[in-house]
Amino acid sequence: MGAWQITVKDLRVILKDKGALFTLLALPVVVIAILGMSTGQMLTAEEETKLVKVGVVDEDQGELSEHVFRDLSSIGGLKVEKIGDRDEAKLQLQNGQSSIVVILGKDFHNRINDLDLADVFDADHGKLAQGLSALDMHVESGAEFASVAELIQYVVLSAVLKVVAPEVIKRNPLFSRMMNRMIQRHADELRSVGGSGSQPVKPGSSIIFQTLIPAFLVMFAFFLVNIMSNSFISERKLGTLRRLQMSRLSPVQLLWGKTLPFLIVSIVQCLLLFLAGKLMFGMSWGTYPWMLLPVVVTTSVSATGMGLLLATIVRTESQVASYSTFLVVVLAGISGCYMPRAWLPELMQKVSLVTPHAWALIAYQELLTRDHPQMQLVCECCGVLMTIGSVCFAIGAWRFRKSEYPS
Amino acid sequence: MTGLDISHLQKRYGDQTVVDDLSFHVNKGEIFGLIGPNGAGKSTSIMMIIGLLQPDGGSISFDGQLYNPRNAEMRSRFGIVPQELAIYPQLSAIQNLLLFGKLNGLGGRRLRERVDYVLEITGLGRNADQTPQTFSGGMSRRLNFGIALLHEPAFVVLDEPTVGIDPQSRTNLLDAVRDLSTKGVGVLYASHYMEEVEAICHRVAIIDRGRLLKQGTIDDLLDRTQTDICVMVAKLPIELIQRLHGLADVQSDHDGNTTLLIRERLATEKEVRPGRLRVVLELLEQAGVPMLAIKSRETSLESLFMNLTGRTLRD
Repeated sequence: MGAWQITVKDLRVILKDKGALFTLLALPVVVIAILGMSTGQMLTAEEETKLVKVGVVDEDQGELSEHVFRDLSSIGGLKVEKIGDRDEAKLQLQNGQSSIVVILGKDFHNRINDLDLADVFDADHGKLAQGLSALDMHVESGAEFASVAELIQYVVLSAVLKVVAPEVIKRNPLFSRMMNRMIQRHADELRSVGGSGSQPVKPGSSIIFQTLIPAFLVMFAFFLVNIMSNSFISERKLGTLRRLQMSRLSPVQLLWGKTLPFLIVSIVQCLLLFLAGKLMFGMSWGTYPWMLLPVVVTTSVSATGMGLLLATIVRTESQVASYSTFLVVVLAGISGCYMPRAWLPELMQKVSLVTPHAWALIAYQELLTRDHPQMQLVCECCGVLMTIGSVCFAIGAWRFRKSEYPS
Repeated sequence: MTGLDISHLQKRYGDQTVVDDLSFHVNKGEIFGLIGPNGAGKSTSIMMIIGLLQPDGGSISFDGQLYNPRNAEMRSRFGIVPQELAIYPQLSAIQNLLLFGKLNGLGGRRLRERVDYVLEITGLGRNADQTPQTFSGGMSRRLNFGIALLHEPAFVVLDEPTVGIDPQSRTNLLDAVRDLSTKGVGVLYASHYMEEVEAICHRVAIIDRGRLLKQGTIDDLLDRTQTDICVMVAKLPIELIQRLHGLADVQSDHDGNTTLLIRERLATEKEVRPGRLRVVLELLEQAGVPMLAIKSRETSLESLFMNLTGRTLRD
C-alpha cells in the first residue's frame, strides 16, 4: 500500500515533467521517423534499382494465368508488372522499362488442360519438352539479359510448373486424395505450433522499420536509467528521501515504490513505439504479436533494474550523466542498436551478449522478421532479461540498504 | 524514564571524531535547544537520533526503550523537520500532506482531519491546492514543518526550521512549537538563531567540535548575577592591551575604536560592584587614553555562545 503511494506520487511527478516525457515518449518516435525517412527511403530506392523488371502480357486472362502472374510477383528480386499487349511489351523492352517480357498467349489455359500427369513428371520427354511454347508462352529478354536468356526461360518454366502441376495432379482422383491428405497434415502441423489465425509478416512492410523500431525501442528503454537515477538524487537533495525513510515504509517497499512507476512508464513507452511503428511506418508486429508483450515487459524490467542499481551508486547529477551515457550509448552500440546485429563481427556479436540490449534485440528480431520464430529462443531471451533485471534490483536493494540505512 | 535519552553518543569518520560522548535528556513536553557553530556535530547528532546514521558508541532511548530505527512503530513516534525543504515542489500542498499522512499510516477520516488541522495551524488553508513552486519561503517552511506533525508524533526534531523566513512566519512557527510543548510533545530544536532558542527553549545544550560544552536552563547558563560593562575608547597601544589581559576582553571596531568588555558581578539587580572596572579605568587614565562611552550589557545566549565557542570562523 505504502509502495503504491510512492508510485502514484512519482507518476504524477513524471507526468508533470515535460522534458522527461519528451525524452521518453516523443523523442524515440521523432528519431525513428527521421532515420526511417532518410536511410529507410534511401535504401528502398537503392534496392529498387537492383530489381529485375519483368513485364507480363496476359492474353489468356484466365484464372491460371493470373495465378502465374501472382507467383512470379512473389519471387524476390523481381519487379513484375502487367503490360497491355505485345507491341507495348516490345517498346518497353527496347527503351529499358522492362528487362524481361513474359507473354501468356490466348491458348494458355487450353494447353494446360491438355497436359497429363506424365507431362508433368517427365518434362524432358512429354509435351513440355518443347519448353514454354508448349504452353503458348513466350519469354523475351532485353540486351542486359541476352546472355542468360536460356536460364531465364528455365526459371519462368519452373515458376509456371509450380502453379500448373497441382492443377494437373488434381485431375487424377488417386493423386488428388493423396494431395488433400498432405495439405490437411500440413495444416494440422501449423495449428499445433499455434499458427491458426496468425498473421504472417506483411510482405509489404519495410524491413528498415522492422529492425529500426525495435533497435531504438531498446535503446530508448534504457534512457530511463538517467531519469530514474535523477529521481533518487532529487529525493536526496530535497530531503524527502529522509522523510520517506522515517515513514512506516520498509526499505524494500520504498524501493518498489520508486521502481514501479518507471517500469510502468517503460512498458507504456515500448507499447506506444510499437503502435507508432504500425500507424506511422506500417511496420508489422510479426506472426505472433502477443509474444511481443513478454519481451516488452522483461526489457523494461532489465532497464529499471539497471536504473535502480545506478541510482544507488551515483551521488551527483554529473555522475548520472556520465554513467547513463555509458549505459545508453555505449551498450546500445555494442549490442547492435545502431545497425543490424548481423552486420556486427562474430566476436562482437558474442561480446554483446553481456548486454541486456542484445538479448532484447534477438527476441524482437526473431518475432518481427521471421514468419515462424523460434519460441524457445524468444523465451530464453526473456529469461535472461528477467534475470539481469532481478540481479540488478537485488544488488541495488542491498546497496541502498547499506548506504541509506544504519545496520 | 520518559522522553528522549541520549547517552554517551559517539560518531567517528576515520580519525576524526565528529560527535564525542554527547549526553542529554529531553523530557516530555520540553523544548530542548541544541546550538553550536557550523561543523559542531548538530546535524550528525540529529541523524543518529532519528536513526538514519549508525552511532559508533552510546545509546538512544525513548520512553525507557532502546530506540530501534528498524521498528516502524517506534519510528513513527518521531516527527522530523529537516533543514532542507523536504516537500515535493511539483505536488500541491494538500497532495504533499496526503502523501506523507498515508505513508505514516493515516487514512480515511482521520487523515482528512489531520490534514485540515495542519493546514489550519500553518495558515496554508487557502493555498492548499497550490504547489510549493508558487509559495514564498515562509509558506514552504510552514508546510515543511506541518508534514512532521501529521501523524501526531510523541517527539519532534526540528533542524534549523526557520532559515530564511519573515518574522510573521517565524512567529507562527514558534507559536506552533510552543503549542506542541503544551500538548506534552518533546521537542529537540537545533538552530543558529540564539534569540529563537532563548525565546522558546526550556533547556539548551551548547556543543562544539562534537563535544557538549554546557547544558542547562537559560537562566542557569546565562548566570543573571553578572553583567557585561562595555567601555569604548580610541585605539589602544599594544603594551596597554597586554596589561588589560585577564581584566577585559578587547575587541577592535571597524571604525578604528576599541571596545573593552568587562564582566562584573551585580551587587543587586541593577547595581554593579566595580572590581575589574576600577582597575581598567585606572590603567586607561595612566596611559592617557580618553574614554569615549560606557554602557552595561546583559549577558545573552549569543554572548555566552561566542565566549564558549570563540570567534574563529568555521568551515
